[in-house]
Amino acid sequence: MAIKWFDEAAEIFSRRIARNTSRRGFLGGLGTMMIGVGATTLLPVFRSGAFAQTSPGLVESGDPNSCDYWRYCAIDGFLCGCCGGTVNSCPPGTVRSDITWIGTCRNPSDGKDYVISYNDCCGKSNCGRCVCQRDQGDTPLYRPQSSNDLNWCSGSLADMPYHCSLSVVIGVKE
Amino acid sequence: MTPDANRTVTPGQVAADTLRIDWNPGRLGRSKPRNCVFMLKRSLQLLLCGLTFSCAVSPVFAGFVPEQAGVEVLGDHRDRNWFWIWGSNAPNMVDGRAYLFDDNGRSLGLLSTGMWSNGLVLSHRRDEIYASEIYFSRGVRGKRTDVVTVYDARTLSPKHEIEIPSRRMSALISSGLSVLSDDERFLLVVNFTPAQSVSIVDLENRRFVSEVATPGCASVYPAGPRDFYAICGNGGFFHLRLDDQGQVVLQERTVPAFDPLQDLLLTTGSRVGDTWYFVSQKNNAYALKMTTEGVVPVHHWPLVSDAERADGWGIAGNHGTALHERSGRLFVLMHKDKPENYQKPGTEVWVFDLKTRQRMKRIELNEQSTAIGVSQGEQPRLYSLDWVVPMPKLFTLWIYLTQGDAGLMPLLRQGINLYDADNGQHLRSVGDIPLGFMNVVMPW
Repeated sequence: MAIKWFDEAAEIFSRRIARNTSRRGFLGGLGTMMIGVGATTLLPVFRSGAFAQTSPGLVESGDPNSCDYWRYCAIDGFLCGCCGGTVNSCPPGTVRSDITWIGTCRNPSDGKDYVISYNDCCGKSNCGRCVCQRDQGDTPLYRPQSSNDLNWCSGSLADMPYHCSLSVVIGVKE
Repeated sequence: MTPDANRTVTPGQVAADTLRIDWNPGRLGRSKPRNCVFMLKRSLQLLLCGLTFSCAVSPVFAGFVPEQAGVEVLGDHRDRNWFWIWGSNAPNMVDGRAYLFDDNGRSLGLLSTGMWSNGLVLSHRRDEIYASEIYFSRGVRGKRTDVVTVYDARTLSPKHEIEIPSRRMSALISSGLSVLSDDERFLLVVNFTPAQSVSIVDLENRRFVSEVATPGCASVYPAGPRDFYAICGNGGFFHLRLDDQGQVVLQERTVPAFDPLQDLLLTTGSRVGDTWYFVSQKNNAYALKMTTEGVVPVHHWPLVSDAERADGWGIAGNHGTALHERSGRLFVLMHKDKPENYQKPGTEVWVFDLKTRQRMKRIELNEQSTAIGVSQGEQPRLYSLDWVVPMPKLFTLWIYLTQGDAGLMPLLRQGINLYDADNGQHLRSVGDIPLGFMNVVMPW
């Protein structure tokens, strides 16, 4: 009995879908979904494992807590290394923002250009130490992907309270 | 020398000893009856003395009226060259502030404007001030509440709040993030989560109306009683039109008005009539006519000559443009530096005639300026919000030479300098601005 009821319900449901959709519409929807899936990979979203640990092959020199350090060419904020974190890890108790702005900085040690993700660390008051503003490639708010004037904690799980900024090397320009 | 001669005596001990002698005269060897007469005489002397003193000073006390503690109320701010400063107040962003000063630099009051303030919106028609504020129930955590707070412009007290979606954008450059419609009926607040949208607030009916998506766009510029344009990443603008209830009745994208791959406009626009003036990262000025019909580029011109460009001159500061409407002059904060330092403090203000698009004047500033403003009344003031090291120049130089920028950074404080906007003459300085990053100066 129960099975019969289930069969009838499935039939009604299938017929309703068939009446309200077309093959072209279905293909259009599928295409939109696939484009969406593809586009997601273009967004500057942190993907677990993509970074957050120092790249083993990366040769660097200089003081990571100095504003002159090569990774900071497009940063604007407090350096997390001066706040209980490091250049690529947030201080204890803060929340790393997953959505960031991007800069491209030249590493003087090997002369190569690297893509830097400036993740903010969020959920506490401003660190207030080692403030650093360098605007290489900085863009206004209407081109947010490379704007360091925005509060990128806005997209974090801790919401918008801003603490400090990381500089994570996520790619190399070949 | 008696044994007591070497005793160290404190003033308290001296007083105690004196009392002991006065009130225990038996120790002095006097008999009791003689002692009573002595005390009576002494009391009469004291009584007469007191009466005489009382007669002498009574006229003084008769007119005394105790003070009453009060609370100041501001007068009309118009045409008095009063001005506000505000900013994110980093590293104390939780405690957003806006300070009000008069023309003499006297502090008139303060507004507390929540976390990472994007400043004030000053009404011209009502005695009101609006602030889009963010609060968390536990300071930096807990439930987030975004409100538009309506302040009384004379008491600087909140009149009421209008709750809006908790998505308001927070950014270093606050121009165009909260704007009034030309008739001041509606307030638009830019959101960023990072999805971009605009919240529409009805100020007359004190209610949030709706939220409209503005993908790829940010700062908003009013262009008519109910029309707005948000600047977008492709160089175009997103046109919004509201009806009388605040509902969006038109939303469309304009064709690009500038090429963002060649030259990016800064969002700090200044308006005369239906024309908005912007400066760009590559040191050009752009005039864009924004009407209910659309956005039309009118003209653009270079702010620097080829020689000046080669010499490193370029735009500077966080909010480095201002405009004097009646005389048609554009004021631009400038410095000599690398192009990528276009937000670093400026050292000069260059004044341009909007008709001829020629530079009229260069005003050398006393201090390193992060923002400028110009009042609109008679004898307009040029305000400069500055970074200063409050110590002798030689000492500052020595720190710079030995430790560089890093040595000076912790010493920086902010101040304000006022100049005559017509001739550039320095008028006065205002110091002692509490520590906290301020980057807008706005005439009221």
